[in-house]
Amino acid sequence: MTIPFPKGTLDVLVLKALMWGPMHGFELSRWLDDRSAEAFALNEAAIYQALYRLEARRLVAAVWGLSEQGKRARYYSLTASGKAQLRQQTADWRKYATVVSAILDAKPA
Amino acid sequence: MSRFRRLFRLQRSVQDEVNFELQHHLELSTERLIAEGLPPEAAHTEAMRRLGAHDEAAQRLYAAARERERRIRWIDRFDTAYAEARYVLRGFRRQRALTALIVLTLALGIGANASIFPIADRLLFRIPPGLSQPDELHRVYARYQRDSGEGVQAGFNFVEYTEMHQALGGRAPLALHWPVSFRIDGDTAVADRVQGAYISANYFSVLGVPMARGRYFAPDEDDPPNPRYVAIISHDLWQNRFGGDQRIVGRKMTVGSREYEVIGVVAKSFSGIDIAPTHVWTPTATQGLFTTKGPWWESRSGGGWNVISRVRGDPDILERDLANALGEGRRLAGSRPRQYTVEFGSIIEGRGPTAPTEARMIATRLMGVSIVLLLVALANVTNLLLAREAKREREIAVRRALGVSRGRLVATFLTEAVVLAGLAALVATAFSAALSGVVRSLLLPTVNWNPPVVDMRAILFTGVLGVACAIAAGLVCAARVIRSGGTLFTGAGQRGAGARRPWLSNSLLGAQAALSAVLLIGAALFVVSLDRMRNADLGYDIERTGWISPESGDIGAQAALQQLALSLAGRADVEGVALSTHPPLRVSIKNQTFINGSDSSVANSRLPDLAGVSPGFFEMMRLAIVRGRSFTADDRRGAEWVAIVNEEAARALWPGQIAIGQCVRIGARTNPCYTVVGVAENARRFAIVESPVPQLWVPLEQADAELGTIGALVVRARLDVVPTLTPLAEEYAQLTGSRTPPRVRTYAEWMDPQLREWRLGAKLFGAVSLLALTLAVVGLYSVLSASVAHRSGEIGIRLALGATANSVVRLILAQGLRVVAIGIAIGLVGAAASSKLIASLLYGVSARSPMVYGAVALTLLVAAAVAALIPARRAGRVDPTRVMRGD
Repeated sequence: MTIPFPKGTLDVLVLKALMWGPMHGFELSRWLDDRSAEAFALNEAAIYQALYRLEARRLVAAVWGLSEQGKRARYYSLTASGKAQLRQQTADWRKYATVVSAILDAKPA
Repeated sequence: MSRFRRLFRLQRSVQDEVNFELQHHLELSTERLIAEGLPPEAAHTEAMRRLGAHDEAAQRLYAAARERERRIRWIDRFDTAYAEARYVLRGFRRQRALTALIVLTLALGIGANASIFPIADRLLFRIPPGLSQPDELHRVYARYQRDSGEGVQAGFNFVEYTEMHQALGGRAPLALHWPVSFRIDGDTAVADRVQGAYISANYFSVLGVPMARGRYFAPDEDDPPNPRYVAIISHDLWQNRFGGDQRIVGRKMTVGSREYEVIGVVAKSFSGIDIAPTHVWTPTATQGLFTTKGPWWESRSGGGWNVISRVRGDPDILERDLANALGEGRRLAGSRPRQYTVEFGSIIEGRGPTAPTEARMIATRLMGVSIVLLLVALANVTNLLLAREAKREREIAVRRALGVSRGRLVATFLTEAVVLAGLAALVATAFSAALSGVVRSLLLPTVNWNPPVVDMRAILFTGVLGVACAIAAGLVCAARVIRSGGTLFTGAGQRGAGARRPWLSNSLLGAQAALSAVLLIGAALFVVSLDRMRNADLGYDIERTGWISPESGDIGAQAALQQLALSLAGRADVEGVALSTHPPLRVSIKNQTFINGSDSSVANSRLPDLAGVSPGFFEMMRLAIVRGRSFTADDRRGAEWVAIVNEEAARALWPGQIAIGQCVRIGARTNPCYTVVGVAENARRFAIVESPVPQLWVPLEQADAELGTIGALVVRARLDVVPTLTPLAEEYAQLTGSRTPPRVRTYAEWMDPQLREWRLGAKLFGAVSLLALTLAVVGLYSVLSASVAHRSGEIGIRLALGATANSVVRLILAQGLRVVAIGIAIGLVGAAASSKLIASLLYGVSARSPMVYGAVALTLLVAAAVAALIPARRAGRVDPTRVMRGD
């Protein structure tokens, strides 16, 4: 059963996906599916929107290259600013998750 | 390709890229689904569904991609500009001295303009501050035709004012205004004078100027038959002279020779409508400028009143009515008829048809001169930039080889130009603030500078000018360097050997020399004029002389003056004393004059100026008698009535005849005959610059009631006249018991204001031309230095082939001087061609004086030689072996 994709989280997940090296759009969507065990109902076009957004903010850089199949593809990679942004947002997310969990786990006094 | 098409193409390519990317994704997704077992068609459909590839999503992606491209382009541009700026600043740091020189030169040219612009602005464009709705305010001028061409009247007599006032019938108010110089608080010979004005009671209300204290003049305080001695003063005067006294209203002050009561202080923002700041206003009824036969307010003489009006709506009808009133008034008075046209002119004094010469000269010539200086600075900066680029040829060549486009190089030059401009504008702003103060206090001390002149307009002007100049210079350099493609550095050590001819640098140098020549000639002409004016033969010798003249109506004045004369004569500090009916060079008295037994008086144009003088007057004033004799003690009442005329009177009244022995009757044809016994040289009447006028003197004792009695004592001191004159007022007061002090003046005071224009021209042109000369010299030095550095290979070869150091020095000198000489020649021709522009402002020297032109050419050549000597000698010291080795 898929769960709705939380708003505002796609950017940080895309940054995380690119941590291990350049990927093109399809590879990235596959990576997200695998890591989330296809739990999210994700519109794949949204991934490209996120990539363009991140590219405009210089968190991600794009170059045209050749895929394994020998076809022309646009590869995205993390920039130094992107890495810093990923670190920051990861820390923020963990803090957020801890606080929310603590509230949700709270028992009546 | 047009920008639109480029943009369109860009947008198409972005869209194509997005489509390609999505297509690629779709293919891979379909392949994977097929690998998972779906049939191809179903796999494709499922892949499309997962991608969310429908029109709306596609449009969103296109928009996102376009936004991405737009932001990346901006960031790229900013990064490039930042990198360029850092590159440029690094370049400046490497060539600190040259950069500083460029900035200072540009700052000089811009700063001079930025300080002069506000001055011209204030004189020509800026409305006097403190007025209410100034666009409704006008000065009234009347034009008319006469035999000698068009006449323009800016001053009207009181009768004309009354006629105009009646003609308007209240449709537009008319106020009167006559600027005058007042002596205040009873100071004597070297008096404290302030600018003042006689005004009508409605003056301040017409102008809409509020009072800080007190009130306006009441109508009954400006009734000419019954003058009331009240005054309104400026805020400045109240603060500086009266210490901001809170009880200023009602306080007494002496203006001229009377006591006035202060009834008001104007608002701080207002300091008059003239160029000079005004500090004291008194009613028209108190005017002491002129007297007429009969009441002056009913006379058509004494016409110097400026008329100000506030006009709302269509001025044409009002102008027509005023013109008709003036014409009709003349007709009714029996004067020669005149057809008038009346014009409501600007309230700004400097823009009127009769604006004072000083203001016009300063405003228009200032701008011209400052622009010339800017051109010299610009030529200099361009040359310096070229010299700078010449040093960077290698670097530019390498950049070109690495693929930097010409557009990028131009951008670099422009960035450099803008940075230089910015620095220069900053320096210029600081510099212009200081220079403006200097210019104002030295050259224009009497101009009203409230509010202060370095303001936003000036700063904006500086900024725009700076950027424009620097970009112009930068583009010139960019064009030249880029067109040349940058000379490749060859490995053989020949630096720029046989380089292209430096026609641009030489042309700029020549232009600087030409412009400097023009400015220097202007300066020299003014200096010579000033000198000629100072030493002009006035007829009278006014060195160390002064006079004392009582107010009319003092009882015992004559006796007192005679007594003073007696006491002065024979004193060790006094060289000579004389008495006269009025002070020479200050007053003109005319009367009907009859000659040759004629029944009618001579024509107005030939009427002589009349004066009665004591024996010894001509000797004391050193006015030479060229024919006949001077007056003696025997020429007294009861003896034969005698007269002396000047050469001009002799020529005008008895052309081709001998004046000696001729008979002259004054006042009426039945009056006794004055026999001419002597002819004197021409003497000035009022001013240094003046055409000769007929003059006639009679002995004081024989001066009748028409001419007047003793009215002035003139004294020449052996050393300084001021200490001799100063006590005379007190002595006079003791002798007469009069409470109104007499007028006491030196002739130096009379001369000084007249020299001001020429002094101004000399200082102004002198300062600017020296600046231009400095820039030209610096320019020549820089260009030759750069040239020597550039041609060190060639020079080394010459020396190696046997040329002597001296011959190399001569070669470089000749190169520099040749350019300058051509420039000077062009400058001389230009100055001669434009001599008409200043010919009318000169005195005693032709605008094409060969002496001046020759002196200027020589000065410039010598300066150029000095500037060229250093690089020339450096060229002579080039070591050929080092050059050949390629060091």
